[in-house]
Amino acid sequence: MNRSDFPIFDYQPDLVYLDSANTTLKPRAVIDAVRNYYENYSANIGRATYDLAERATLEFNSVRQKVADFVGADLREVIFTHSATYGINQVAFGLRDFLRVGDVILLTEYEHNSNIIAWQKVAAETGARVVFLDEKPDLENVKIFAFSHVSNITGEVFDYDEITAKVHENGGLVLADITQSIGRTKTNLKNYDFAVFSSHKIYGPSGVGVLFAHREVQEKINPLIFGSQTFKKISRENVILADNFSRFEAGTPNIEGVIGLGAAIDFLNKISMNKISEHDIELTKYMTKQLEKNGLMQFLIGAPTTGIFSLNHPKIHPHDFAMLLNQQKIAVRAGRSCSDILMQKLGLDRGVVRASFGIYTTKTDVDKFIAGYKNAIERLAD
Amino acid sequence: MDKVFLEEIIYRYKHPLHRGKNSGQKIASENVSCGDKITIYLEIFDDKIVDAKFDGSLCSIANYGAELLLDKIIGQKITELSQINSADLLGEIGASLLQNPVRLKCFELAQIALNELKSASQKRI
Ligand SMILES: Cc1ncc(COP(=O)(O)O)c(C=O)c1O
Repeated sequence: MNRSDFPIFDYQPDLVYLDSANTTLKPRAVIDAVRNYYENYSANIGRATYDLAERATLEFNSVRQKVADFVGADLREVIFTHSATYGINQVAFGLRDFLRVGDVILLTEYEHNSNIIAWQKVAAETGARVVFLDEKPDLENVKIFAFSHVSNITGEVFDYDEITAKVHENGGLVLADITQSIGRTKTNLKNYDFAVFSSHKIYGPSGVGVLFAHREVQEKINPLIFGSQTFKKISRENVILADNFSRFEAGTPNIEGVIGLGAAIDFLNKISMNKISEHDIELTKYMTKQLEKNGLMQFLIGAPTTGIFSLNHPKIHPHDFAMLLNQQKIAVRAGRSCSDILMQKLGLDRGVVRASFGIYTTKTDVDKFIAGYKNAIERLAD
Repeated sequence: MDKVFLEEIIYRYKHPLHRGKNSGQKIASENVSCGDKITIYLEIFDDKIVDAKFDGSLCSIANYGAELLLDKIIGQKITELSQINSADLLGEIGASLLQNPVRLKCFELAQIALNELKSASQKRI
């Protein structure tokens, strides 16, 4: 689907790119938008009053609305960050004052390292405790529940509606890491307090992320860094910070990156998220069928319902699969894929081979992967 | 990666010369970033390595690095071990690996284990 929109395939026609969960390839529309900013109106935003700067400001601000519309949020709930990782850190460390000794920060064992380490660090500072869902904790003391909506390892979808409701009942807050879901399915932020994602995983530039912070809880988080654009009033003695998203966006942002993200969202909307989701589901079913047909289901981790498949062969090292697949221009992720806690739980110290799909992925790509995987087994197994 | 080089790596993986154990001194090392583990067994007599074997959980490149290292050190004096480096071990055929820091780390796993022995023997001297 839409392969011709991705210039990389003009240069690398044989490329079988199966690492979209890591980062997605970039469509021409995004590349053009970034270049257009550089070539035609590369001024700073929000400060100067000449035409170029006004255009840059307008384009930049329009992306905030686009992002909000894309997930059904309010414009004022969109905070531009640098990445999903940064967004998680902003929430975690922004909640230092909210956390007390003995509070529970509930995570799931499926989390990306980014959604674990920041919480561990904040727990150490505040005396709160990080607890994982498989420890079956009492939900009463949960002050924060942070989870990924789609696992970056198993491609499984998790909603946790009941836990979210319970945590809210007890005055806790909920963060959804929608990094892997936002480009695969239509996003519904439901009643999550916070949500984060990275632009580079939905066909936009890297260096830009979004933190959604619900209006009603936004004042609970303190900004982490301070600088221009973040205040309402300043004097020699004092400063009053802005009472909206501006207080979280200190300094000159990644203007071209945000504009590129806007172009990525336009691109996705043009195709429609329903179609993208259908394509992802169809490929996921196809891959599952091919794994079954070829006797490879025994190696699959979990039961993917979105296009992220991780395989573990008991004898062959993931890096060796990746090396042989690479010989055939098949790009996959190999190793623990930033999910060390899950790998520990599964006893997979060496990690997995992960094949993940994007909107340009085809059934032929899947076929090539299956053939390459089988070939590697033949070559390397005793 | 060059095809000939790759074939060489796979050949040594399928037909290792030095995999196994002996009753000598054990040295071990682990690559925490990828989970590979190696144990090298060294039979040392009069400061000379008279036999060496290795085993563990290794990718093909870590295996290759161990094979080449053991090719080299069997028969050597412990005091001569300091001259070993990856460029020499890899030679021309494997030179491209020097440009790949992630996989070079795999290749050097056995050398890292051996360093332990080197520093221990230096302390003795
Ligand atoms: C589920 C999930 N969360 C967070 C991240 C971190 O994204 P970034 O490195 O762009 O901050 C990733 C990236 O792999 C991810 O898959």
